[in-house]
Amino acid sequence: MGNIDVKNLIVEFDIFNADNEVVSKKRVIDDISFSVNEGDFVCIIGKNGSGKSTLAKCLNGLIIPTGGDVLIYGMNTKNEEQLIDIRKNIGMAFQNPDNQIVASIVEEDVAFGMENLGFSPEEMDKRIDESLKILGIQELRFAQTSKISGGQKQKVSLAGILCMKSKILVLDEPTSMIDKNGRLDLLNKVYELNKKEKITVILISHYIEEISFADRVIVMNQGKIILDDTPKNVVLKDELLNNAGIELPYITRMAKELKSFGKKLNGNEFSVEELCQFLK
Amino acid sequence: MPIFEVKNIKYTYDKYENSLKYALNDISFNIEKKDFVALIGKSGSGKSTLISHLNGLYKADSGDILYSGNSIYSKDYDLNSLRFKVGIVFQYPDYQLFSETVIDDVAFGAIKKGMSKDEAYKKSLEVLKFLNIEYLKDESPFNLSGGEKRKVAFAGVFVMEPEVLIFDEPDAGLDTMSKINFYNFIKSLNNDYGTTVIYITHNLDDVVEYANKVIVMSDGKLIKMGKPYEVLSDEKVMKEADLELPYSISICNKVKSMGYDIDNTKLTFSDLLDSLKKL
Ligand SMILES: Nc1ncnc2c1ncn2[C@@H]1O[C@H](COP(=O)(O)OP(=O)(O)OP(=O)(O)O)[C@@H](O)[C@H]1O
Ligand SMILES: Nc1ncnc2c1ncn2[C@@H]1O[C@H](COP(=O)(O)OP(=O)(O)OP(=O)(O)O)[C@@H](O)[C@H]1O
Ligand SMILES: [Mg+2]
Ligand SMILES: [Mg+2]
Repeated sequence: MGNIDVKNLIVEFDIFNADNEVVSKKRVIDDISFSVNEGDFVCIIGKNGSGKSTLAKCLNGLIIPTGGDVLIYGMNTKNEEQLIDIRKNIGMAFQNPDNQIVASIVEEDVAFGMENLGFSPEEMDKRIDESLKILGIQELRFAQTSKISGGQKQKVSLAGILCMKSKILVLDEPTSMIDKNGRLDLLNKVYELNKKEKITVILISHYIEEISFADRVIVMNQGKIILDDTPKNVVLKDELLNNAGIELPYITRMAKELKSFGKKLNGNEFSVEELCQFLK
Repeated sequence: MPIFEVKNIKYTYDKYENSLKYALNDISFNIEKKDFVALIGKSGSGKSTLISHLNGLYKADSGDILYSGNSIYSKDYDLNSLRFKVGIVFQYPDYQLFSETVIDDVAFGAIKKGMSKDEAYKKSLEVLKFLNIEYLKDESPFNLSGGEKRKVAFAGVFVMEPEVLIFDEPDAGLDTMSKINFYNFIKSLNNDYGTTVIYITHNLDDVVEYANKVIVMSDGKLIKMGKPYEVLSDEKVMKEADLELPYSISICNKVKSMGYDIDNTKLTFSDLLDSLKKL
């Protein structure tokens, strides 16, 4: 048993007509199964509407499966009495951070998730401080949440998740509005948590180069998993990816072009260093 | 005549407090008709604040903004009509969606602008097709995925056919193919109809592909404006703005450090590929 087990998961949404009658069902997750082990770093990619956020919401029991099961440390999300324990284990960053900000001052917002978990004020204070530092936004601690920029909001909502120190982190496009510098900083921190503290990480992202942080990449298309492999292997399947609406990362594309021109490269390089090896 | 002349504008959010921290601090620049301008800068540098001034949504504390030669701050200026000429898609497009179905939402602005209902719905359908989201036309905008919402917000602005299109981080949340499709579409509006485009982005490698000018903001100031290669290869500016270099420049730097010569004014993907092939 992994710490996440998804078995034959199906999610369908009701489609209503103007009179609020259900006229049809839309299948958004179409019979997928996978397990994630403690300490894995999994990246989920796929085009818009492929079902990534829906899957993420199934993991913390926000959406209950139409069919199949989701087990977190063996606890089924269908058992309402276990939902609290499930959510204690999963820190979840949603796609739209603006909807996620609940308090009017940054530090209160960051503390919100910890509030009902019985931490001492000192411990809370320490954690707020730590997580704001990780994200490089200590100076915003007493700022009003209505008065910060888009990227800053994204960082504040992430700080709130980091300070819960959950065993599993589900991050749905956590860095979509952060500059590349900030994005890499943040991912390096998450990577560190993953490696040092064995935090399980599920990262959903359209920044395709971010797959290089992961041990494993799951590619979704139309509610199905079409690939589940290491980053290096996944980018070799460029035709499959293109058909699923995904372009390769910049460096990988360059490497592939140079390889087909006859340069000594594998066509699955991710870093500038790796790419420039052909000059040696 | 430039389409926008921005003259020494200053703006602070804390007018009633003593700390006068300027979100915009003495900003001046011109934008010509048909320009394709990328606005870049670190989180919190003032990018969103700046574009909110360009359709009169925010009013500068001092300084002036001229649109086609006329000050938008003069008493008799018709700010309402400016909003139809300058179409903006904001950073959180959720707040721009409100109708019951996607198609109603997309047609709304154009009808308000004065387009006939038939025309507006016809055009809306065309735009939805261009963006590959025709299948969403009868859905409720609230049930859409993140990327789908953003595309619907784009569509609403496209249908109004504004003279200037402004996008706040349009690529955030788009899958890569949709992103390419989006840029090609606005590039064609820019080429074929002379639509002026201003957009905020964090993807500097895309800036090289599409923009003809780049503005760099840092801490409320405009610290450089110029052609993409001029700006992005200016180490001092990139450092001051605290921005990570695009891959193209990092590759050029690495190649040079290995003792090879490479033309770092040619930064598009295909140009760089050609240079690398020759090494
Ligand atoms: N409550 C709902 N009712 C009906 N359809 C829905 C609902 N929520 C999501 N959908 C549809 O389900 C599909 C999958 O949505 P989801 O948000 O999981 O996509 P995603 O992969 O996260 O996309 P993105 O990359 O744009 O965020 C979309 O086509 C969306 O329109
Ligand atoms: N409504 C507001 N009230 C007070 N201050 C604000 C408000 N909105 C933004 N600010 C502040 O003004 C500065 C500029 O914000 P702006 O939203 O323009 O940044 P940005 O460059 O768009 O950043 P991002 O890339 O994160 O979206 C920031 O320091 C921000 O905290
Ligand atoms: Mg999503
Ligand atoms: Mg912004």
